[in-house]
Amino acid sequence: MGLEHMIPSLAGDGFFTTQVNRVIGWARKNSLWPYPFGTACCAIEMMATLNSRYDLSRFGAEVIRFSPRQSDLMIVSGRISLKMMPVLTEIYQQMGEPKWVISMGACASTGGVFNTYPQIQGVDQFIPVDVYIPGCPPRPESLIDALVKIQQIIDGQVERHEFTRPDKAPEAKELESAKKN
Amino acid sequence: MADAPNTSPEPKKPRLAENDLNLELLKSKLGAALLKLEVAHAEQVVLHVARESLLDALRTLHDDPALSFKMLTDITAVDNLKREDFEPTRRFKVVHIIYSLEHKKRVRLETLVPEQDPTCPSASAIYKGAAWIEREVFDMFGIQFGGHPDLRRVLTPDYYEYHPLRKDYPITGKGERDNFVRSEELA
Repeated sequence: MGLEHMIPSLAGDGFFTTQVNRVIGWARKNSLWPYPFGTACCAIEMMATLNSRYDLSRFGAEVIRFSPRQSDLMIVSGRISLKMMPVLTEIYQQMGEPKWVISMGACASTGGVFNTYPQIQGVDQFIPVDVYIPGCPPRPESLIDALVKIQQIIDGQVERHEFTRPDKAPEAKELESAKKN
Repeated sequence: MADAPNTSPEPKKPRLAENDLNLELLKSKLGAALLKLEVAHAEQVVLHVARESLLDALRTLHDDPALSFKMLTDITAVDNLKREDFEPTRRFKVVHIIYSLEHKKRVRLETLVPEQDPTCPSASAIYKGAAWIEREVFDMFGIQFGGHPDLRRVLTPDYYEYHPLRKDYPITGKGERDNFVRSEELA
């Protein structure tokens, strides 16, 4: 921040000034505790990412928690079915704030190749998603990239976008009114 | 030109030993319960039975020591709606596939179920494992199994109103997948 010279009593070794948000963000982004919502083959790539070869712990996110109350990053990896969506919503709500969501792979993001009756066509219709990973399944490098994007969001380098359900987004409403006219 | 070798063609043997059944024995044991015995694709033996005599046929196949079909491989169903020769009285076909561990033989039973009265007797009294398989057939095709101990849906949620594997159900559903409450609306 460069304020040190304005407070002579602090201007010595071992002091620097900053913002509380930046310090907390720095701590948070380097110790993300992911909740693995793995329902399909994307979860295998998620496991590979955690293994020593790709080693997600280099980015401080190796503490996989199977309890939503102890985790702050949900990785939705796999197909979400009609019967699973209420479970996913409930688990998302059980996670304490602040929390972030990665939608990993084509199925979680859009339904993928499964344009069928039990397949949710994108979990972002019902829970907020921060980062989407394309791929079927995505490579571990993509998941690492998504984690780095989450870190940038936490750090304030990237703005977190507003969550709007697709059919309730302003563009969708405009389209609808245009159709009526 | 040499004369063709004078050998009568040998009776064709099934490709798999499990399909090589004594058909006459089957016919005599099942008697009137058997409508038709068919050797279908890949020499698989298919027993066509009426709905009313399905349990009798299964009981005989299960209990008779010469047959001893003690293992139930699967129960499934077929919706004939899109067939060219479709008739409402032949809407569904319930298929039982059973195996004899003792004789290492396999047969398939096919039972027609009409559209107006989609019921079929439950095999769960003979094969205990049939109960859950029949729940799946009920869930997917809406066939009611009479005498079933606990006929609930098993794959789709309890509130589901349709039977998805029926041919008149659209593949993308009727909007069930889009009608969840958003998490922020719940809170």
